[in-house]
This record gives sequence, C-alpha cells and structure tokens, in this order.
Amino acid sequence: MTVSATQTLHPIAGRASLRVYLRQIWDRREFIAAMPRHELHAQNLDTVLGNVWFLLNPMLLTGVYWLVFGVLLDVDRGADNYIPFLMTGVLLFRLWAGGATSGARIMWRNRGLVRSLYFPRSVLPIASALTEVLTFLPGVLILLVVAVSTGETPSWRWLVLPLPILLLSVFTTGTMFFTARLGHKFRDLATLLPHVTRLGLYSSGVLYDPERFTQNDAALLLFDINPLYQFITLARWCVIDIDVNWWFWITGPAWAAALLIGGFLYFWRGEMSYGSKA
Amino acid sequence: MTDHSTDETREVLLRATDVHVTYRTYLDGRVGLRRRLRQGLRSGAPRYKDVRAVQGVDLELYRGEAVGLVGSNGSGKSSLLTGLAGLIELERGHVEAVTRPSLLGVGAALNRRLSGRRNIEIGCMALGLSKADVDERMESIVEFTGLGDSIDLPMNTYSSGMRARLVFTIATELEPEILFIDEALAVGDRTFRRRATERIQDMASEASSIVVVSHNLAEITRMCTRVVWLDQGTMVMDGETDEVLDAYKAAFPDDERRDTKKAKRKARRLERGKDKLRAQRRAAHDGEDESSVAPADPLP
Repeated sequence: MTVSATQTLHPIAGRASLRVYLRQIWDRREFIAAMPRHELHAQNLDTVLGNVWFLLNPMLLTGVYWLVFGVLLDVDRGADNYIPFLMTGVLLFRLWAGGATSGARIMWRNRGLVRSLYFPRSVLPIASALTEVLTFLPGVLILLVVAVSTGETPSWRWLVLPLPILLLSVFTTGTMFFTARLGHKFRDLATLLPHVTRLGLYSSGVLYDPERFTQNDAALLLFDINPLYQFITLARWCVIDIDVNWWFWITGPAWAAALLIGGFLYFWRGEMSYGSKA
Repeated sequence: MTDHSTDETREVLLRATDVHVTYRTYLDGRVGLRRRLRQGLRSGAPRYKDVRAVQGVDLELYRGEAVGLVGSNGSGKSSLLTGLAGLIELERGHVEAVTRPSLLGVGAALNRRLSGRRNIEIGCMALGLSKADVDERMESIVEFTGLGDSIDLPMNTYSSGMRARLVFTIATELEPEILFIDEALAVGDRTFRRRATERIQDMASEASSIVVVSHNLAEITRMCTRVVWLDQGTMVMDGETDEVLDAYKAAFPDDERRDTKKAKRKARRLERGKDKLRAQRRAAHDGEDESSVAPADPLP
C-alpha cells in the first residue's frame, strides 16, 4: 500500500500516552478556568439568592451544628472557642465530602460534552474540583469573621491557613478522580457515597476533639492517621491555635500527593470508557 | 468494490483497519438481586447483552473528499463513526489519522441548562481554543447559527433543529481536517441545510475529509463524490456515488420513495414523532440533571 501522506498518521483509538495527555490538559487550562463560571451560573439560575448561598450555607450549617452539639448535647466539653473549632471542621469536611459526591456524578452530567467532542476527560474532574474550592473560599472569610467575633485575635498563623486548604484541595481533587471513574462505572455510587462520607464525618473529628473523649491510644491513632483529621487539625491550629502533632505537616502533604497521583492515574486508565453509553 | 489504496495522488487523512465495535445494551425485564450482584461485580454492568455493531470494517479517507455513509437503521453507521472518532474503545482493530476526527451527532448538546452562547464558549474551549480566540470569533459564530436572540436562551428551550444549528457551527468553526456528520442536518430547516451543505462543500474542496451519514439520498448525491454502504456492521460497497447508490436503491427500493413528495411528508411526520420522543427523553434526563445539580449535603 502506498502512502502519499505529507503528514504522518497517529493512532486515534486508544488513550494518549501520559506525556501527551498531560500536555493536552495543559493546553486546556483556560477551559478548566472557565468551567466553574458556567457551572456556578447553571447551579444558581433558579435560586432567589443566587451566589449569596455560598456565604449563607456555611453560616447556617455551623449554626445548626452549634445548636445540636454545642448547646443541646454539650459535645464541646468545655473546649475554648468551640464555634470556630466546629466551623473549621464543618467547612473543610464539606469541601471533601461535597467534592467526592459531585465527582461521582460529573461524567454522567457532562455526557453530552463527552459524547460530542474529544478533549482529555480529566479536565472535567479537575474543573469540578476547582468549582468546589471556589465555592468553599467565601466560607473561609466567614470563618475568620466568626473567629474574631468570638474572641480570637488575628495572628501570623492565619497567613499559614492557605497551606492546609491547599493540601485539602489537592486531596479532594485526587478523591474526585477516583469517584469520577467509579461513579461512571457504577451509577449506584452517587447514592451510596453520602453514607460513606457521613461515616467519615464522625471519624475525622469534625464535630469534637477526640482527645476530650478518649484516652485510648489505639483509637487516637486511628484519628492521627486519618488525612482529613490531619488537614482539619492543621487548619484549626491556624485559626484558633489548638495543639497539633507537628508531623501532620509531613503526612498531610504525603496523603495529598498520593491521592492526586493515584487518582489521576486511575482516571486516566479509564480514559476511553467515558464516551460509552452503557 | 473500488480499490482506493492504489491511488497514489491523494493524501490519506485516516486509515482504519479491521474495526470492530461492540457495545453493551441493558436487557429489560426482572432480574433477581443475586444475578445483578454476580454480573455487576464481575463486569460492572448487570443484565446486559453485547451487540456487535461493527464487525471488521476497513476504510481510508482522503483529503478533499466528502463521503456518504448509507445503510438501514441499525447497520452500524453511528457506531463506526464513534469508534473512528476515538470516543469509544474499539473491540478490535486499528485507526490512525492526521488529527482526531470531530463527530457531529443528532441531538448533541453540551450543557442543556446553559445558553447557546455559553455552550459555544464551552465547546470551542474544549476543542482547544483560547478564551481570547472564542471572544474574537463569537459574533461570527452566532451569526452563522442564525439563532438570533435565542442564542442567549438556555439550550433546553431549543428545538432539535436549533440544537443542530448550534452544534454544527461549533464543530465546523475550527475547520477540522476530518469531520463526521451523523444525521445532524436532517433536523435543520431548508435555509440552514443549504448553508450547511455549502460549508461542507467548501471544507471538502479545501482541505478536509468529511463523512456524512444521511438517509436523504438526494442530499448525498449533491454533496458526496464517494459512498460507503454499511449493512449489519460490515461494508457492502465502497465506490463512486452513483454506482453505490444505484445498488443501494436496488437493494432497498423503499428508501428511494423518500424522494417523492408523499414520502417526504411521511418522513417529516416521522421526524416530528422522533423529535417528540427525544424531547420526552430529554425532559426525563433534565429532571435527573437537576436533582444532581442541587447541592447534595454530605452532612446529616
């Protein structure tokens, strides 16, 4: 067979090599940056308050938790400044849990785009993670306001706060790569996941300080190796100066990097499956 | 069968060898939990059946040609194009091309909750255009769609013809070297079909290779110099338009009647029915979308 091609032919079917794939993602960086704007627009089209909800939500949520756990059940056990303590936990945990859940739906929700046009599919979980982080940030401002109004004084530690937030964001992106591929394969995951994350809520010290509840070393170790507990504790140290295991600054980044790389590779290996109808 | 491989003067843009596409379809009917779990855990898909849509197709596409793809419903035309475009995994076979083909399908919509304008932005940027490029071209893109003020309405208010206009415009905006059009023009009105046909002819005469799936044989005769006939997932014929269409019409005399006025009316009625069905299906889907958009509160 004679080939008169002046351009070379490349294999089309099958996924791109990792190098090419990363390059393709980089070429879509503006697309990733533009997606959250459209996504948020679509989400808030039919609400009266629109974007104000991103400020209201964390406040209302903290209010409810404070009422139930702080006032009625007295979970704080005399902790200083329980409200910002609680709010930090709730906010950070919501970023991760919300990300995991929306990751499970992301491939289905964008099936029109995926079946019509070719682009590296991991752009979708990345853009979705970015959306989650952007909607989370207003809550941090509220948190700092609440911290001041409950007696905290602004400190140099506040300048470190972006670090645990970054770690958690990276960790969440990694989680979303996993839930995106799994959720595309098993639609059931989107229904199952809230129960899993709820379990995470109670095992990550979101609502209480585990050390005020148990002296059992084995139980405390379970908290200490939990990446979410690590990120939340680091953030609490920044906001209200609680005691922190200093090695969290090592294990936290390790967890974040592991999830990001592992999740990305897992998602990339399924690259060709996302366009299928089944 | 015409042997194109001996043609040395033309540049090959895509070469497909022994392409097999198999997809999974869910079976209707009651299935016990035990069987669901067994099948689900093994393969990720309970109660399915494999459909071998394309079974060993070889195809070469050349620069500067518009190829018609014909065949009865379920003959594997769409599956073949989806496979060649690299949107799904091939069961077997090999496809190589100068660039990844763009596929334009019926009822394609990118994000139904967003306006046409936003969809243009999303679509063009997904294809790799920068924000500045999109902004610069936006007005001419909107102009070509002919959608007027509707461009700022959400896409779920669009008719299938309006959607087709928008998606056709996005897909051809970047003048892809290889473009597949899967019945996407069938739902457009006369004006749009004429403009679309002109654009396709322009692209084919310049640098591209275009494959058009259509049941409108007159349209294929107008646009295409070559026709490929697919039946039950295998290629029956590949050659000059007249030659293949004559054989095709002889095999399916019913399809030819579409050219008569009466049949055209019937076809339009059918299309409207299909549209309605699609709209219903879409409404069902949109419902799902909405429930999934509502922020699922992960906290109890």
